Amino acid sequence: MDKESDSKTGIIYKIKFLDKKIYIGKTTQSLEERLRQHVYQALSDKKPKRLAVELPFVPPYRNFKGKNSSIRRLLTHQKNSKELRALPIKDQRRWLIDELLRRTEILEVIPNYRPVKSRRNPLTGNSDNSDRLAKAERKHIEAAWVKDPKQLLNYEGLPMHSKMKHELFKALNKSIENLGNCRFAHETGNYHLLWDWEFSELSDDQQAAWDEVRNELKAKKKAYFENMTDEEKYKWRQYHELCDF
Amino acid sequence: MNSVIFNIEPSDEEIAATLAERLAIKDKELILESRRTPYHEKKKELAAELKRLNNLSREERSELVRGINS
Repeated sequence: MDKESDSKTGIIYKIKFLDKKIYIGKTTQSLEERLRQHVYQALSDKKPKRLAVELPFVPPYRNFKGKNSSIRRLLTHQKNSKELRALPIKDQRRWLIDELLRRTEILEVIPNYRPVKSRRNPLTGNSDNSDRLAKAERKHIEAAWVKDPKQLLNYEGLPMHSKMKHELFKALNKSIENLGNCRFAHETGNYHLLWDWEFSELSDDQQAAWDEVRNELKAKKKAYFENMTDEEKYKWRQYHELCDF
Repeated sequence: MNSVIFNIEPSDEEIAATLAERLAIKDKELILESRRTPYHEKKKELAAELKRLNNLSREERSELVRGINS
C-alpha cells in the first residue's frame, strides 16, 4: 500500500467548559465528528466501560468534574435549560454539538501524521513517545496543568499519573500473586497459573475448577464445529493438514 | 482423520489460560474488598503523592514537568 495515502491530519483541540474547566483531546477525524462522539457518550445511559477497571484512580482535585458531566452541565446550566431538556434527544445532541464547536479551539495541527503504536516499558510504564500526535497532546496537557491544574479535566494524560497508574497496576499484580493462584507476565501481558496449579497435584477444589473449565471449553468447541458450514470445515481441515505437514 | 482435525478436547494450555484469566478476576475482587494488601498500601501512598502535587506552586509544577521530560 502507498504509505503516503496512510497519513492523516491529526488535531489537538481544547474545549472550554463552565467554571473555567478545560478538556484537551486529540483526533484524526474531523473535529465535528469527534465532538459528536463526545456528546453521544455524555448523553448515553450506558455506564462508561473503564479501560482498567482494576485502577480506581483517585481524582486529585476536590472540584473535579468529569468530561461527560461537564458536557451535560452545558445543557442543564443554561437559562433556557428547561426548554432544551424538553427537546427530543436528537435535538439536544445537535444543540450540544453546536455549543461544543463554539467552545472548541484548535491548539495544533499535525500534518502527514501516521499512527504509531507507542511502546511502553513493561517495568516502568514509560511510553517511548514514538506517536507524534500523543506526544503533542501530552505537551499541551502538561502546559495546561502547569498553568492551572484545577482547570484540567483529563488529568490522567499527565505522565506522572500514568506512572502512578502503572505502579498501582504492579502492586495489584503483587497482591494477586500473594493469593497463590496467578501471576502477571509482562512478556505476554496475561495472567498465568502459578507453579502449584501447573506442576503439583491439584487439591479437590482446584481439580473441580479445572474440570469445570475443561468441560466448558469442550462444549464450546463442540458447538463451534457443529455450526460450521461445509466450506468452513473444508478450510479448517486444509489449514490443519498444512500445519501437520 | 476427522476426529483428529475436529478434536474437541481442549489442551492443558488452553484450560490453564482460561482458568488463570478467571481466577485473576476473582482475585482482583477479593483484593479490592480487603484492606491490607500491597495494592492498598500503594494506593494510600499515591493518594498522598497526589495531594502533594495538588499543593505545588506553578514554578514547582513547571520544574517537575521539565524533570520528567528531560
